[in-house]
Amino acid sequence: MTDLFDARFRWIIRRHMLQLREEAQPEPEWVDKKFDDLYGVIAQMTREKVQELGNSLDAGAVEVAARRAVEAVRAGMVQSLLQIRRP
Amino acid sequence: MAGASQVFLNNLGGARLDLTLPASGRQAVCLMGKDLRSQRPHLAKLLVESQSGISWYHLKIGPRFPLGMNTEELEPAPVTIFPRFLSFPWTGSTFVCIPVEYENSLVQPRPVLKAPLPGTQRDRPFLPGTVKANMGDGTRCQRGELRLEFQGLQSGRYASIVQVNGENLPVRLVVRHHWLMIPVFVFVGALLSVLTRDYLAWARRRAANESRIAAIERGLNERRGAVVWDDLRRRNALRRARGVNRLLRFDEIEVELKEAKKELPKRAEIFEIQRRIAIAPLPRELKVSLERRLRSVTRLSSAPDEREIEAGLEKLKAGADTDFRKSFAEWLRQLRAHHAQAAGQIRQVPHGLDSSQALRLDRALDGLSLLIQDAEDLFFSKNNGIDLDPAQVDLLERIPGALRQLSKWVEGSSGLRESEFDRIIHWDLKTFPLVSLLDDGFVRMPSSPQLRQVSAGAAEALQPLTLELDLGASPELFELNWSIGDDRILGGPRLTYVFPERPWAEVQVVVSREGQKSRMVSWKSSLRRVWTLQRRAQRRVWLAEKGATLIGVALASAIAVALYWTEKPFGRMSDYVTMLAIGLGLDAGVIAGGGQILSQILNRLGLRSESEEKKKETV
Repeated sequence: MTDLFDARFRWIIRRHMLQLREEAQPEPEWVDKKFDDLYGVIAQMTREKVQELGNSLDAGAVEVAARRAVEAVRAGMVQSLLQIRRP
Repeated sequence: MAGASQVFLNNLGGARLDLTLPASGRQAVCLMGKDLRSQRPHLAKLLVESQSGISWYHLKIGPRFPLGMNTEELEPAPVTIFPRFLSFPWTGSTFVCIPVEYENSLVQPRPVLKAPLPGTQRDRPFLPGTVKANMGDGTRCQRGELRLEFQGLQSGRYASIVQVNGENLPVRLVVRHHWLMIPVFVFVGALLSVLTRDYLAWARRRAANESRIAAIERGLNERRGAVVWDDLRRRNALRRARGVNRLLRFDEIEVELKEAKKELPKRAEIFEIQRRIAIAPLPRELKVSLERRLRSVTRLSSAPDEREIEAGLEKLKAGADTDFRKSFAEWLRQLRAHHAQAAGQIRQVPHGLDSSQALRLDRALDGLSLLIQDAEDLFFSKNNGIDLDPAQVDLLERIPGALRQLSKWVEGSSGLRESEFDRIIHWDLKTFPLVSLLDDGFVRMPSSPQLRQVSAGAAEALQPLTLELDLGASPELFELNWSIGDDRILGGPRLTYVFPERPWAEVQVVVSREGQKSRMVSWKSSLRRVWTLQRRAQRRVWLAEKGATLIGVALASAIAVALYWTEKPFGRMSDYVTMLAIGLGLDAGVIAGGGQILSQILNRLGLRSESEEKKKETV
């Protein structure tokens, strides 16, 4: 894996992060606070998915990988949010 | 023998008698009746003493002041007069000088017209007032001569007895116009025929050419070329063809029509460039810039721009083949430079941000820098194409807008919420306006632009003339509306145009900038038409035909003169019409037909082939 992974897909991951931020309404700041953690998790998961998909840096392949990573994170994130909202 | 005779003297104011002895020719003169003044007839007695051997006398009774004209009858010699073309009917005058025996300056000769001559029924008598008599004064007739002048005579035969002071003078005149009038009118007739034939042939050919030109023009109107010059070049050829069609330079039309009929270049590369511009992941402003560059190349409109058109299209096509990598790299470089400059300025501005806000500001600026860095890494990771997502490019081109907004926030930081930075930190830039990085190339027209002629020499009608608007820098970015007469051309800063105006006509060209408040430049010039001689071979054929006409005219004139000189009093209107008809018939019937034969002969001699070769060379 090269640094190109970050260059190519950072903005993809960020786009998904933005999506997560939208979904975290009315607490988007929660995503901001967790941004670095979440970002690191999603990036790592995406890397792994990319490797599973043949280590291809094709934009479409890693887009799929990033989406799967975000979906996995989203599930955990919803639970975390529910815990935050629980009185 | 002595005899007496009685004679009556009537209204003579005296009389004189001349006796002539036929044998010896001796004359005797006797004046009598000096005091006879009355109008009554008088009786005079004449007593002649007889002489031996003489049985008769010539007895001549004349007026008391006789002239003694030494002419018994004017010879019926032809009298030549020139017609007066400015008055109608044509009239002329002539005079004869008759030697007289007696000269008396006190006596004024007085002509009286008498009965027509016997045996001249076909001839016309002189009309009263047409005959005048004067004594010679040394100018037109010598002294001692009687000048008998005939005025107002039209051509014809005249015969009358003119009595001058009692002496009868039979006069016969044949009046006719000068023989020079015959060849002149035969020539005029032939000339009319030549001109008519040439005009008809010219008009017929011109109409045929005009319909061909119109057909080609319709074709050009239906299918416009992708490059203005491609279209304009053909229209120039058409304009030139139409211009020379009005003249006698038909040989040039074929060359021009061949040029005008040329298939418009497909210019498939233009459509390919447009397609690649549309699909390439490029910033909008870069797309607009490339489209403008393409448009400025395709709108070049002069002959000197031909090379520039080809080179420009080639360059754009080469760029399109790589998705305009070079242009995008340059844009990225400018974006990086812009970010560095803007970030430096923002960080240097003293602001009232708290530590949290300052941290967020740094993160936002770094995030934007990271975005550019990612784009650069991706871009330079490959050697061809642009490996960027259009959505990513959209983010990139909003960076200048985000930086501007950041600058505004920092400068007016009071009440700034942290969430303002969040959108930038998270690259949520879609709400920021697009700010142009590139120079839009929109050069304003100079305050007093000048239009000048590029080609050297005098401006000639029907010759391609290149005009250039003096724009200073970046003239290629100008798209100009050229207005010449009714013609509107959306072209470049230079225009090559064929002016079909009449020679020395004033031509007005109005130029205005497209999309800009029009600042018009007018150019007026007098076009000079240079007359070029026809091609050598054609000229020889033409001259040979006309030379044959001239020879024919000379021969016909000689025959006509010979015929008319004999007897006929040439000069009536019908005579002139006949001469014209001879000339017309001569040219139309003989020379025109002969011209065909001549043309064929010249063809065989290879003159035409020489012309064709020259045409090919011209093409």
